[in-house]
This record gives sequence, structure tokens and C-alpha cells, in this order.
Amino acid sequence: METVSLQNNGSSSPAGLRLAALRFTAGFQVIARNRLALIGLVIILVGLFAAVFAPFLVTHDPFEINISERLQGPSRPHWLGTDFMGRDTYTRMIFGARTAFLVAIGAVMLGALLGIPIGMFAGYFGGWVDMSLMRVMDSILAFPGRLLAIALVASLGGGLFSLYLAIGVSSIPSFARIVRGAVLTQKEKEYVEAARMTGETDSLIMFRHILPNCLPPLLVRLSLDFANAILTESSLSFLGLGFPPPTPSWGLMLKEVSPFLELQPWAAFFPGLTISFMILGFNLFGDGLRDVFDPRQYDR
Amino acid sequence: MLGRYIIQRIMQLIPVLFLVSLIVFLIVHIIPGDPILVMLGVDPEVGASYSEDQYRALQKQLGFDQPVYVQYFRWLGRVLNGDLGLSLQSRRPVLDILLERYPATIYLAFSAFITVIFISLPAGIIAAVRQNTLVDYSAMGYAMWGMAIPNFWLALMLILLFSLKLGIVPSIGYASPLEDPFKFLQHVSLPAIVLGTSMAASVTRYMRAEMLEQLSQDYVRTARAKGLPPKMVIVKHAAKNSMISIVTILGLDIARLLGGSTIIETVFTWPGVASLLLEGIYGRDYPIVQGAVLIIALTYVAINLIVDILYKWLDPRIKLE
Repeated sequence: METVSLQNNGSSSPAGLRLAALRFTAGFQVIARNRLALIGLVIILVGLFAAVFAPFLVTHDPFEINISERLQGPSRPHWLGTDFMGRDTYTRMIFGARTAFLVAIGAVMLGALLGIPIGMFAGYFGGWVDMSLMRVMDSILAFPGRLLAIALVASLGGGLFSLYLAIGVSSIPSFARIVRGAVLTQKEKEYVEAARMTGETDSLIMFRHILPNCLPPLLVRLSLDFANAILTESSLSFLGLGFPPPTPSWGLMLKEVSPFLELQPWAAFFPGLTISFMILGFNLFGDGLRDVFDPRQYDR
Repeated sequence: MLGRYIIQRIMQLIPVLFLVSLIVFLIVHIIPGDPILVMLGVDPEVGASYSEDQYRALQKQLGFDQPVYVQYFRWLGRVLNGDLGLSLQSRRPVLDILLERYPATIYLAFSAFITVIFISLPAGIIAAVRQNTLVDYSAMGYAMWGMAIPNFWLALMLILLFSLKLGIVPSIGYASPLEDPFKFLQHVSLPAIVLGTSMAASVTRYMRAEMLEQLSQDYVRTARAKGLPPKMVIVKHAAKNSMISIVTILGLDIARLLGGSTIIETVFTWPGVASLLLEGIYGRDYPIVQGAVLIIALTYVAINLIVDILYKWLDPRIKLE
């Protein structure tokens, strides 16, 4: 009997997960009808495509220096012009997508992987566990996120790991709060009571049954946090606190050409436009998701 | 009632202030490798260019010869007495430097806040009144892009257009509003607009949504039915009632302006604490970095506290969670 029930849990999805899957399909239909969210999704997919297939999409070597062709405007050999070292802007922008997604995925994952369990424990166990965990979360929220990121990279130095940490830490509280809120409403429901009566362990109830029901607001948060992570990475790189040169990063590209703003405006124009589009994409998609999951908000 | 709320709210600050102090303290301690060598500017690959005495002196100045928890409490004790240490570069007290540069940061944040109000409230109201017209679409387009455009890029593009091409406003420089208000306005206009753009964009959106909500209410229909002029209905009734929730949004966002000012001050070489922070980081002047982070974080916490107390005063129904 024991083995059968375990197998059941493993192979077929529990009710919560199946419900979430159903909502997904319905959600995609709504997104497809929401034109702005669809545009957002397309922008995200284009960015992801560029990040994954960067080497196949570029026209030059991203590190190839050619001083005689420095600071050119858009032309046939250099579609979006060149930077102050004569490197191809288009090529470096495509590789920059890789940098942006690499940092954003890691940072958002860090925030989610720490924030979700914290919110889960706080909401599920309540009492002093809830009190103390949420006080810590509130304290992090009371610290300006961008300042925390700058302070952390200032000490840890720029690099992939410290960027993950610097950007990810400030998104922990938002994940924790969302999950906690959802758990508080879910844990009183009958299916949780039923699971408890069949003798399932607390962790199984939390992560198998309750978590799938917290997914909708989490996905919205995920999308908006992605936008924020990309913005923070490019801001830090622009300040010279992110990746060291010659890494192709959008923020760093902007920093490098900003002294030559008057000489060659195009060199600063394209990287900034790319960042804007990427953030716009995640924002539109996040808003669209919110419309799907919570039609009462922003439905006007 | 309000007095009790204020005390409760201040009690809540204790863990927050503890975390702030811990983060500021740890800035020096999480530097990879030997922080003292880093602060002496020794490049590990090139090798030593410092004397043993210099090393010892700095170690003693920073108290690094003690266990970490001892260092923390000693440091905290000094900070509470207003002693933030000496700048490693100028050898001047950090607190003096911070106080010199603090006003500029506040002036900029305040100017940005004024910009936000002047852009977002009218834009939101007009967009709602003229829903689904070209005006509405432009306002919403602005709101969408305003939140997406990175402020440092916007800064560069506006400098290019207004300073370098048109020569209307200076791109860098500063004058105190108390000494030369006209020059201050000239210098603050671009940074304030750039710093306020993203916040103005989100407030525009909220204002529009809130106005639409209010305009659909019965009391607006009544006001219209009894023959009030449309402008009166919009301004006196709908806009006024929308303000209740907009004030909340504005309060939540005002502190965020401080966080955003780091980049803007650096781009415009605005002589505030945020650009001081970056100078400290570039110069590995960690006492300056610690001091700047501390003062920005404390201001942030203080603004949030004041805003919360103001709400309670404005709306006694608000409960402490």
C-alpha cells in the first residue's frame, strides 16, 4: 500500500499541480489575446534566442580590436557601428544578451530559492518562526535595493558570483512575502487538511501541495524581478562595478563609449535601447501575467 | 493613539537598524583577500609597495587586530558617538565630508520629487478623462517606456540633446539653491527629470487607474447630474478622492529616489553623498564607503518612518501590521 501511494505521488501529478497546469493553458490563451503581453513575450524570446545562439548570429569577433575603424556609425560591415576600440557594436550587443541573461537567471534563482522556502516556513508554521523570519525580510526591504547591491559589489568585487549575490539578495523578501501570503490562505483549505490526515509530512504538504498553488503570483514576480535584475546588472556595469572589460555587457558598453557621446552618439544609443527593450519585454509580460491571474487588477 | 503608534513603529526599527549597522560594518570585512592590502592599494600581482609600519598603522586604525564581534561593538559604539573614522585619502573625518555633501543629495531628491508630481498627476488625470484617445495612449506609452528606460542612458541622451547639441542647460556642475537659486535650477533640471522619470511613469499609471475608478463611481454621476461643470467634477471630486491612494504610492516611492540617485549623481557629477559613495569605491576609501552607505540607508529608513506616521495621522484607520 505504502509503495503504491508513493508511486502515485511520483508519476502522476498531485491535484494542485494539475490545476496549475490547467491554469497555464488557460493563461497562455489569455496572454495570446493580450497584445502587449504577447509583445513582451516575443521580446523576451528574441533576447533568449540571442543569448543562446550568440556565436551563430554575429558578424564579427566580439573582442576583435580595430582602432582604424573606431567610433563608426551604422554601415554595411558594421550594422550598428563600432565602439571606441573599433569593436563591432552589433556583435557585442548579441553577446551582451548572454551576459544579461546569465546574471539575471542566476540572481533571480538565488532570490527565489531562498525566498520561497523562507515564506513557506513562515506561513506554514506561523508563530515565532513567522515573526522572526518576516522581521529579517522587512529589514532587508528597509534597505534600498540598489544601494545594497552597490555596497556588496564594492566589497566582493565584480564577478558572476558577487553579482548573483548583490542582485539576488534584495529580491528574497518579495518572494518570501508572496509565498507566505499564499500559504496563509491555502493552509486552511480542505485539501491540506486531507493531506495531513493521510499522514503526509509537513515538508511534503508544503512543497507538493501548497507550493503549486502559489505559482501564479510567483510567476508575475519572477518576470518583474528579471527586468529588475537586468537593470541592476547594467547599472552596476555602467558604474564600472560589474564585469571587468572586455566582457560584452550592455551597461559596460555604455560606460565605455560615454566619453565619446558627442563624437559618435550611435555608439551609446544602441546598447541603451537594447536594455530598454529587454526591460520593457519583461515588464509587459509580467503585467500580462498579472492580468491573467488576477483579472481584478489593472483590467481597465 | 498616535503617540502609541509612533512608539510601536520606532520599536519596529530596531531590527532594521541592526541590519543596517551589520551591513555597513561588514562592507570592510567581506572584501576578498586581505582588506588592509586592498586599502593600501597593493596590487597582488605586482607585489608589495608598502611598509610594515603603514600596514600596522592601518590595522590598528581599523581595529583589525581584534576578534570580529569585538570590532563590531567597538565600531558601533564609535558610530553612535558620531565618529565614522577618517577618510583614508584626505585624512579628514568622514562625518564632516558626509555633512558637506548631504544637502546636495537632498536637494536633488526633492527636486526630482517635485518633477514627479508635476508630470504624473496631470498626465494621469488627463489620460483617464480622455480614455482611449491619442492623449491617453501617449500618456500610457510614456508610462511604459519611462519604467523601462535605464536612467543612466536617459541621462546620456538628454545631455547629448540639451547640453551638447542645443546648449540649453549645463551637463555638469552644481550651485547651492541657498546661494544662487537661478543657477541651481539650471543645474538641477536635467538630473531631476532623469531621476524622476521612472517614478513619474509608475505614478502616472496609478493615477490614471485610480481616476478611472473614481470617475465610474455614483457620486461622480450625481455631481454631473446636478449640473456641476465638468472641470469641477474632475478636479474637486474625482481627483481629490484619487489622491488618498496616490499619496500612499508617492510615499512608498519617495525613498526609492535616494537609491536611484547613486548613478544620476555620478553621471552629472552632482556633489552629493551618492557620488561620494562611488568616489569612495573607486578610491578604495572604505571608511567613506561605509559612511555614505550608512547615511543613505538611515535617510531611507527615516523617510519611510515619517511617511508611515503621516498616513496614520491622515487616516487613523490604518493599523500597524
